[in-house]
Amino acid sequence: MYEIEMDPQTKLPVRIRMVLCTAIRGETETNKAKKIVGGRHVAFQFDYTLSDYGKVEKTSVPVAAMKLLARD
Amino acid sequence: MCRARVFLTLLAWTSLAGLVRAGEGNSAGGRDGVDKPSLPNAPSPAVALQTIVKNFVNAKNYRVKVDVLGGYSTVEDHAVGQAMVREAYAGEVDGGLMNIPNVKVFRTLKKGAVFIDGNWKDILSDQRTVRIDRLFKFPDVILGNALNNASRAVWLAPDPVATAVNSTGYVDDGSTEYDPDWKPSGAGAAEKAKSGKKAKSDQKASSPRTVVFKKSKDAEKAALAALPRVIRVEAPPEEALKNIIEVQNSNCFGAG
Repeated sequence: MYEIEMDPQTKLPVRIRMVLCTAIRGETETNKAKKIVGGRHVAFQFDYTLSDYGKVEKTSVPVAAMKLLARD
Repeated sequence: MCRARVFLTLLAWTSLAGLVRAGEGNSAGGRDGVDKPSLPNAPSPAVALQTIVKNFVNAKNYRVKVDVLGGYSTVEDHAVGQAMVREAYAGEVDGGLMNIPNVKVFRTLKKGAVFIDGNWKDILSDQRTVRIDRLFKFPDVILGNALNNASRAVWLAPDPVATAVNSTGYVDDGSTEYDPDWKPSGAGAAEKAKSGKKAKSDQKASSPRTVVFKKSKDAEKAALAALPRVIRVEAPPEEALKNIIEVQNSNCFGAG
């Protein structure tokens, strides 16, 4: 599941939430649609905050790092 | 450095045998997803999502933070009751390059470099940075995944508690209809110029059809505050599998 919150003036995303779940066999309750409705299950929540659009200064990348990034 | 932010991959859906669909429920502060017809003056959430992603692709750079919380849950809204993983990262993204200064990491969508013991090494050479690579996705990826499922997008009704009078919701400037064929591409500059000018002209030209009250500024603000600003997208069950595998590959959930 994804939730995207946007700045109403710029229409840019300012917050993104991603929720990942997986059932545990024998412990998770699901309905007919295989949707988790209860019981013990694994859940991960990722909460992103985005800001300062266009305000980030360029960073110089060291040559050694650049070589690693450019490698196939 | 290639503009990796243009990629927005199409995911290969895999079957999710034995697993269930990625989370759902009231994770957004207790609000239920509300379909468009019940939100007056709200445009299509798919159109809004596409507009948001288009604007994001055309953004030059930004700062991003992520808080990761993982563990066991026993409730329907998937709130983590027994936390096993807590991570937080912050980075700056310029073009297709992310800089995470706290851990001295530079990364693109495909590669990463970390400064360890006086040398620059591959991001996958150290367990700590493998976790970063697996858990800290580029927002481009997530937005691309959401856009691929735009048909499942719904608006979340504005939270009356959190919404202040001065805040506003999504105001349709009439600039778009949903374009199912649009995919982010490298033509960011031209598109940015076009969308920027069009958005400005539309904002000037469009009538304030979303304004319900015209008698007072407070009433006008209240009307705008009632418009939605959060889109929820339920991914199909198959998509969860790939994401869960990446989390497992980070080895953040322990060996046991």
